[in-house]
Parts: sequence; C-alpha cells; structure tokens
Amino acid sequence: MILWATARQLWLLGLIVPAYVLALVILDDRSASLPAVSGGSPATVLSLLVPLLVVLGLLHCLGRGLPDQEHTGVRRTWRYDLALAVAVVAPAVPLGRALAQWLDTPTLAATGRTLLFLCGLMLLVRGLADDRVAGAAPVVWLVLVTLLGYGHAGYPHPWTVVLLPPGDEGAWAVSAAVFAAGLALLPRRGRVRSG
Amino acid sequence: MGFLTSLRVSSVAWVLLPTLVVSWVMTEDRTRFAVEGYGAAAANSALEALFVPAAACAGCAAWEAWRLRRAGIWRLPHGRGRYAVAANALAPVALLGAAGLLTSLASAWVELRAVPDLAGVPMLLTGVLVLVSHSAVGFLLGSLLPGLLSAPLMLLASYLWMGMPATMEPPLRYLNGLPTGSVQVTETFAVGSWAAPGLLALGLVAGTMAAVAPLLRQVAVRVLAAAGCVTAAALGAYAIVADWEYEPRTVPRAFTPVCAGEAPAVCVPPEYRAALPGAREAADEVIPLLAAAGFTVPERIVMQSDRAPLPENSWLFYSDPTLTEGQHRESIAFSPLPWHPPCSFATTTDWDLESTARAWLWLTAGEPETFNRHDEHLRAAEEIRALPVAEQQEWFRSIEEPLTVCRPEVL
Repeated sequence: MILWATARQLWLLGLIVPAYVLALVILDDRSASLPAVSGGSPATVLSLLVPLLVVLGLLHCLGRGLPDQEHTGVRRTWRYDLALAVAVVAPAVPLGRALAQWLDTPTLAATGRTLLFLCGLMLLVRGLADDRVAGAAPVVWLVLVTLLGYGHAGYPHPWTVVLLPPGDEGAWAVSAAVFAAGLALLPRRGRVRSG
Repeated sequence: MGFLTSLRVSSVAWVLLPTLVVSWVMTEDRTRFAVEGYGAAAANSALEALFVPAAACAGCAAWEAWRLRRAGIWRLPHGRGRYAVAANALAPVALLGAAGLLTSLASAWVELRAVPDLAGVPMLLTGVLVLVSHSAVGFLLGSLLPGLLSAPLMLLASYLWMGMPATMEPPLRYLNGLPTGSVQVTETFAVGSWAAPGLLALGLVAGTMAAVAPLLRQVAVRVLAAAGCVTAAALGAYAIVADWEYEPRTVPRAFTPVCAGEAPAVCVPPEYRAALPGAREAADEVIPLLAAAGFTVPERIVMQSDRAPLPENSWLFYSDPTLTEGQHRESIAFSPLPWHPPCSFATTTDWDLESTARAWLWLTAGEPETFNRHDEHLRAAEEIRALPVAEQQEWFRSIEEPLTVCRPEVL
C-alpha cells in the first residue's frame, strides 16, 4: 500500500485538493466571454475550469504506475486506484454545495457535478483508448462546450452537461453515470506511464 | 527523419482534421459581420479563428516534446544540434498551424469573396508568429511538465490566453494577436494591432530558444536569458498599446471611392457599390430640401472614416447595402452636421444639442413622422423651424463649435 502510494505520488493530490478549493473561493462567480460559434456566448463562469486541476492531477497519479508489473502482480492495485478516484471526486459534491452556500454563489454548487463528469470522461477515455488522450479529453470537452454549447438565446444545450444549471437532475444523472462507467473501466489500466 | 514519417508518427495526424474543421466553422461564423469583398475584413475574420490552430499547435508541440523526452533524445550523444532535432519534431506542428491558417483564409474567401489586401499582410505574418510562439512555448513546457499533463495543459493555457483577453481591460486584450472586433470598410489596421502581439510572440520564441541554447551551459544563465527576452518583449508590446482604449485602434483606409451623380456627387467605398443607387436616390430627394433651408450644397457627400479629415466642400454620411430607403434619407439628412474626430474615452460632444440638431435636420428633410428622438428635442427643433430661414441657418452655424469639441462626459 505504501509502495503504491509512493509510486502514485499521492502527495501531489495533497497539494492539488487545497489548490482546488482555494481556486474556487478566489474565482467565486467570476466569468469571461470565451470564443463561441454562436457569435458571443454568455459569460462562462471560470469555476468551470477548476475541476481540471483535480482531473489532470488524478490522471498523473494513476499514470505513475508500472502497468505491466501491476498486471501480473498478486495484489490488485486497480482496487486502490478505484478507491483513490472515488475518494478524490466524491467529496467535491458536498464541498461544492457548501461553498455555494458559504459564498452565496449558486454556480459553485455545480462544480462537484462538473468534476464527476470530467473525471468520468477522463477515466472512460483512459480505459477505451490511451492515457495520453485521456488528459486531452476533458480539456477538449470544455473547449467544445464553450465554443458550441450555447444556443442563440444564450441557453446551454443539454448535451453540454457541465453548462447546465446546478439543479438540473438530468445533468447530475449523466455525470454520475459517466463517472461510474469510467470507474468500471479502471481495471483496463493505462498503457502509458506519466513522467 | 523524413517529413512524411514525422507526420505519420506525430500527434498531428490525429488533430489535423478536427482543427481544420473547427477553423473553417469559426471563420465562417466570424464573417457574419464582415464586409464582403474587403481584403482587410477577410484577414481579420481569418485571424479571429487563430485560437483554434494556436491551441492545437501548443498541445501537439508539448506532445512531441514529451515523446522526445521519453525517448531520451536529449541524453543521447547527438550528431545534430538541439534546434535541428526540435525543428524536425516540430515540422508536422508547423504544417498543422499553416493548414489551420490557410483553412481560415479559404473559409473567409468563400464567405467574403476577398483575399487579404496589403494592409492585412502584417496581420497575417503576426498570426504566423503567434502560431510559432505557441508551438515553441508548448515544446519547451512539454519538455518540463509531467508527461501526461503537458499536452492538455498547453492546449488549455493556449486557448485561455487567446480567448480570455478579449473580455479583459486594455491593453492586455491587444497582446495575444486575436482581433477583438470586426474592421469597418472605411478603416484598416493600426500598426500597433500587429506590432504589439508580433513583438510579444517574437520575445516568446527568442526566450524559448534562449532557454535551450547549447551555448549557454548553465541552467541559471539560460533561465535568465529566457526571462530577459520575454520581459523585454512584453514591456515593449505593452508600451505600444498602453494608451489604447477598449475599442481597438484603427486608421483611416486609403481608397478610391465610387461616386454617382453630380452636385453633389454621392461617394462610397468600392465594396459598397451596391448601396450607391439607394444613396443617390435619397440625395436627390433630400438635398433640394436642405438647399431650400439655406445650406450651400457641397460638391460631394462622401462615406469615409470619421477619423480622416473631411475634404473641402464635402459632407460626411454613412451608407451600406443593407440600409433601407428611409435610413438612407436619414443618413443624407444628417450629412450637414459638422465633422469632428471621434471623442476619446469619457469625453463627448454636447449630446442634447446634437439631438436637437438632428431633429431639426430631420424635420428640414421633410420626414417628421418616423423620427425616434425624444419629444423634447423634437419640440426644440420645431421651435427653431418656426424662425425665418436665415435665423435657422445662423442657429445651426452657432452650434457647430459645441458639436465638434469633446468635453469630459458628465454622468
């Protein structure tokens, strides 16, 4: 277990998680108009991008393993990886709600859902394709939703998931499903080592 | 390694098609408000989609750098210099950037039927420099950042750097090379539009090259040299656009207008040739009424930049092919208003007086029913209209000074 924790560089997550909270507090409801195909999207809240910190950090940690040796090992380290992913992502949901209440910024309540979705997407792509593409997938998704995600009236399209209001139950369900599917593919570990 | 082999094994092979598609769509979207047939507008629209190939180049360059690092290229004894090795790895990235920019230009050509004119060439060269700088920085950071993270982080950083400054305060919004608005048919790019981002991009490339310079043996020296290059370039670029306001600065465009009729001739830029019949017709109806109100009919009524001094014996008006008959009449009716350069930020001419003058001109041009000014201005204008013609003209001459002098705006 200690070897696993050392190899995965868990200390990095120890730095990233406080940075994630701090970034959410600092960014609060700040927003910016990012380029969009509809000719000017409504301002995108910058807290939408913060979950990438955790997603990419988790990807790096998961990618620190030795895939071949771990495949043939007696101990199933993928279970530790699975527990790590859940332990990192799950608290973000109540944390987002708590921050939203504390800072009186309703949009922050969606950050946990965004993290669920992006992390699930990363794990899905990691399982289906490659670690290297897995890192790009959540970033490309966010770029795509800011580019194409708003309709002419400025409302987000349902397919964007992460742009939907914090109370959208459908978006929560999709995010949870994507995360669960990503976790299910976790044993099909990555083939490329980070570093 | 041959170029085709480099391309085949590089990340560019995956990214090329999506980048080209998004570049095309973004440019097409950006041409909606651009002037058809105007070369500078074509260059501007193509560059408004520059963030797409820039982010793709940054991400792919970081990816290629990681591949080289994983292969241990930099630790091996080598027969070729570092720059040559890096250039070889970045050749497909250069193709990606060039293809992205050319796709944008092709999309702009299809939509606007225009190729960039001479004024757009420095802008496009700056665009190329920006792509090179994103690739260079992506390659450098790709060599330093953790492997799996370098490409997505560079992709995101490049996208945010290109996308976000447009919503920020000046002069930051003028440093990334992405145009912040469309260019009018009577305007063209100011030197600072391309000089500032070009200088910063050049500094980033120089800084990257200094950071890996084989001649500088110590890391600290390399870091200092790189930081010096980037800082000097950033300060220089900042100085160029330091006094720019929220709207990007432009300069009047030199063009030979197309004119219709005489006494007065009505002249518009060649791209707006289609508006000429409507403008001429409106002038034929409105000018006699203005002459009857005591105005001396000018030789020409011209559409040109309001930053350029108005030629002698000319009035200024606005036209474009989408204007209705009524809007053309309104535009011609307001053309006797005295010319003045646009007021700078937080200053304005006497707005109340200008509204009254416009109302009076509108009544004089014989179209009282569709005028959408405040009633108070219309009432004031009607009172002036009740005066003898000579006194009305005297009043109009008396307000020329307040209509041309910019004073601090009282909020």
